[in-house]
Amino acid sequence: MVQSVASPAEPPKRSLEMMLGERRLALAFVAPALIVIAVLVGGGMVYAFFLSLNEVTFVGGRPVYEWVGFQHYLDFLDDARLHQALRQTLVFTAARVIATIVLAMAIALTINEAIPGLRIVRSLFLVPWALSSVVNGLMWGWILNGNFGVANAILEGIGLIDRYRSWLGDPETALPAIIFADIWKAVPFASLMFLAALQHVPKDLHDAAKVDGAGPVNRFRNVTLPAMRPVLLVILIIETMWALKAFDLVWVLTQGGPLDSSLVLNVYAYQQTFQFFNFGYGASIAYFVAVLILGLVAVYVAALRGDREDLR
Amino acid sequence: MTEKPVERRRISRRRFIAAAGGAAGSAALGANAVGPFFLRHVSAQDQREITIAFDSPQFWKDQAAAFTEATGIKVNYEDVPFPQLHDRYLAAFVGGSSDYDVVHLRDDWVAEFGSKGFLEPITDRITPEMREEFIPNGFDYLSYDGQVYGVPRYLWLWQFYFNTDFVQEAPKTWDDVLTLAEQHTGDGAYGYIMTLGSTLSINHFTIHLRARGGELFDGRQPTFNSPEGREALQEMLAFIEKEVTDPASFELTATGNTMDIFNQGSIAMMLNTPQVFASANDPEKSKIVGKVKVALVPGATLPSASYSETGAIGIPAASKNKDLAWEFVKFVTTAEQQKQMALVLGRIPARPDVLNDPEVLEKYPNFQVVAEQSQYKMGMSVTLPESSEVNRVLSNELVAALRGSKSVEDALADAEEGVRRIVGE
Repeated sequence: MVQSVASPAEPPKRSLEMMLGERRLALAFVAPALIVIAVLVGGGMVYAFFLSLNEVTFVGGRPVYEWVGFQHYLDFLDDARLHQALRQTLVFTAARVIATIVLAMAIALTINEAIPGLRIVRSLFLVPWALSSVVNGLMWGWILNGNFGVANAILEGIGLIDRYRSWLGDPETALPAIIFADIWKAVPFASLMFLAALQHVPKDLHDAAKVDGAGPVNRFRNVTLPAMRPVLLVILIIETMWALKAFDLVWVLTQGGPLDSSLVLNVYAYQQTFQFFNFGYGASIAYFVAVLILGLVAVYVAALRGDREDLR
Repeated sequence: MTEKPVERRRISRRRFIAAAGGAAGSAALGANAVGPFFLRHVSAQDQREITIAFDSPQFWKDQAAAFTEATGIKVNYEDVPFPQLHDRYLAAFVGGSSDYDVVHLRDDWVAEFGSKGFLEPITDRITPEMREEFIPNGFDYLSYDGQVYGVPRYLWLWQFYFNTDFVQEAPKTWDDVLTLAEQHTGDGAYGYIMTLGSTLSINHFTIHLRARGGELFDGRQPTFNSPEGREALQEMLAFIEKEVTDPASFELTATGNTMDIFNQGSIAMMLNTPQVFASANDPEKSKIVGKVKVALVPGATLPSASYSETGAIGIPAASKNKDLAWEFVKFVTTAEQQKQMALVLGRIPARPDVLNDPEVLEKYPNFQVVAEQSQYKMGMSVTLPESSEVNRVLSNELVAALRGSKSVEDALADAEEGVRRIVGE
């Protein structure tokens, strides 16, 4: 255990820290918050799990629970809509995570250079991230509108389309359009994280690599990227979690339609719970999303295990 | 003199933790699926105040203020956009919350919520005089299992609108509409527009089906997969295949969005709701001021048929202020308040005496068609406890047919199979 040691110049401490030790003291300070969080999160999760093992109906305004065990989870196997939602959630997640990381990295590398005026650009960059998802959804709803959306005007103007298209009303383009809108919002946060990491890459390493004859690509691969891996892991985990939990943007733009072409797991869980009154089944889907997130995070952590030391 | 006890809203620690736990847990799970079960709170019982959650237009808030002035009963008005109302109420109901004392109701919500005991039956509160004062069958639309749950406020009737820049005389049949639509499509204009997003394709289908004497359900039995149903869907498909319908129709999830496009002047005809007339004649919102006419909805084998919802008002079973809530219900459904509503919002009043009021008819000529329209079939087409799920299945199949990804026959057969699975028939 690490003990604090007072310097000779400091007066002797008669404090809680001396009595408990630094680590115990830290634990004592955070314990109330930890307990509250554990109760709040844990309580909700336990109840949701209980719900997922029951068929919940309402009689006379009161819930009636019928124990069905893991039947809801077994029902996943025969639920074609769930399969479709799962496929689309994974596509949504992969597209968002990959595109966000690539774009954010490129932008961070660009704005890390000492170019005049970039300070303003960096500030403006936060705007999409600061928007709420609902506002973002409403805005993109107008941009993509099939009748007077600016996206159609631009694409027609540059000759990419010959007539206005209903991007959100077409099953082939609805999900890609939503992914695009989501990436637009996600990139700034990741860029700023990468930018912060870039600014902590020792300049000496770059200089040494240059002396050794490394070009920009080699320097990025062998100097910049290894130094950024911890942040990359964090971004990977956060973006994956956010993508798997996607709900509000999809709900505002398409509600999962048309023809379920943009249905994702959380929208499906919401439909089951709040529109179809299937509370037990909705809870089981919510749990499935939680397990999916945990599983993917575990895979990431395992894959980047070599960076454990960097993460400390 | 005895001191009046101070009114406090008490929330026990256990309830607070449970409520917060529900919210946090559901957020952690990413689906917000469980929180409302925890959300129970003790509302003020002795205080003369009620809480309402309803739509945003200022008129409703002004009406609540007028009620307070007339009765001294305070009204807490919670502003909830209409598309979120159903789910907001549901979250409160399943949590056993007594937060709301008055709720907006629609015909299908009565079946959904009433069947689960979330609504207070008001059958015994309705006097024979009240029954006489409202539109015929008005209370029937708001009943479930022999109990009345709501008092009608307005009629959300689908009407036929046309822009006189394109069409001078109202078409009588859907064939006429198609012919006119073909004539007026081109140069950025479309002869017709539909609202096919969300589950609204059902409303269009209902109107075409009823124009042939068909109906979506007979009790709980789906009856739309019939020769009339196939003809109706085929007729809708013709509007798409001939490319006379604005392609944006598929992304429109509310009639208000369709109205906004119509107001820009590039659409000849459409089915829409009473909100159109005021909006289309508002220079700040419309480029077609003075050019909008409303007519009887065209027919097919029958002269006409439409679709309507009842905008009603009811009381949750969990309300702790039911008598005060009933005072509010009575107040807002008086002839005077209905007239104000009609004049300010352009909603079709649920009382015939107000509907025929000269001042109302002068301001809203589209109301003149209502009496004639009500001679033909209207009302909602799906009013089952499982309405939401049924609507989802049916609308998906209808859109699949309209998009050409399924034949009309397959789409209706699949819809019937899906619906039967849900309703257990």
